[in-house]
Amino acid sequence: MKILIVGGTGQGKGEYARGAYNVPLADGGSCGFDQTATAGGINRLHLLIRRMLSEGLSPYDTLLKGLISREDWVIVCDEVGSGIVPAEAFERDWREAVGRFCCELAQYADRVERICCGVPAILREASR
Amino acid sequence: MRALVYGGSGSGKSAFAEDLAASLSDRRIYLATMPASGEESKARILRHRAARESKGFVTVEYAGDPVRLRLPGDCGCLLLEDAGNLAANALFERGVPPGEAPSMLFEGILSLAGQTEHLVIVTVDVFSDGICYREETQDYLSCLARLNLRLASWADTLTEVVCGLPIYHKNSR
Repeated sequence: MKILIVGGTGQGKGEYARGAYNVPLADGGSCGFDQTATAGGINRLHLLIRRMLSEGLSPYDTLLKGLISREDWVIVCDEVGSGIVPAEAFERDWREAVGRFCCELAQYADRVERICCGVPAILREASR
Repeated sequence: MRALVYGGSGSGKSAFAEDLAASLSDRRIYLATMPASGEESKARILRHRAARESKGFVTVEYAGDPVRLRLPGDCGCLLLEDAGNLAANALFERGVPPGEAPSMLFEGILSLAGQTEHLVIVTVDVFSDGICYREETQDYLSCLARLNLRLASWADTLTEVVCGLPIYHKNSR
């Protein structure tokens, strides 16, 4: 199963993912860029995308292609696009990239969940 | 049909709204409201225009007061993108007082609604970054929020888009 979990910051997404799916996740805030291929998925994807962009890497090239080719993952990502558009180009690009990346992932996910105050709402569930 | 589509940056709201408009009519007009200042927005406008032409939209670019706009006749569905630009244009380009702008813009949108069979309005969620901005930006947030409330109350449908997926908050059709 491919599971995408999104929501605002501090909504209990990581804890929910651990309780519901219990797979080891790479931490997007600190993991190596190649580590995501071996873990059960990625927590804090928004930070991984930010680190990739700051190194001049496109998250679409290896990361998205790698994820699309897999049968199972759990990916947890903050929603970061619901604010005043920042003046700095990097900040704008990052928000846009996180949003677009999640749109792509949602196309391939078997289930997309949005967490509000620790409670999941299912945005899409694929019939297999 | 009057539809309001709501979402953050990169949420997939534009693509959702385009598909919705395409499902409503073959005679589609896209109203682009972003003033073309700066190279980045010019590049963005050109990219969006090319993408829409392939989806069968005639593009009208207009950053002025919507109440003054006359659409080409025989419009089946107008896609207005977006209410956030309407508010910014009113406050920052035309100097409309923030207290008056929501009603003025709502009247403008009613005038556009009278010129088309279906209207799809895209609006932006800019309300959850927790930052307290300086006064003119707070005025913008407040203006857009009140415009959104008016539009959502008036519209037949309110759909929030997250990761390209719809959340149907209201459907009174």
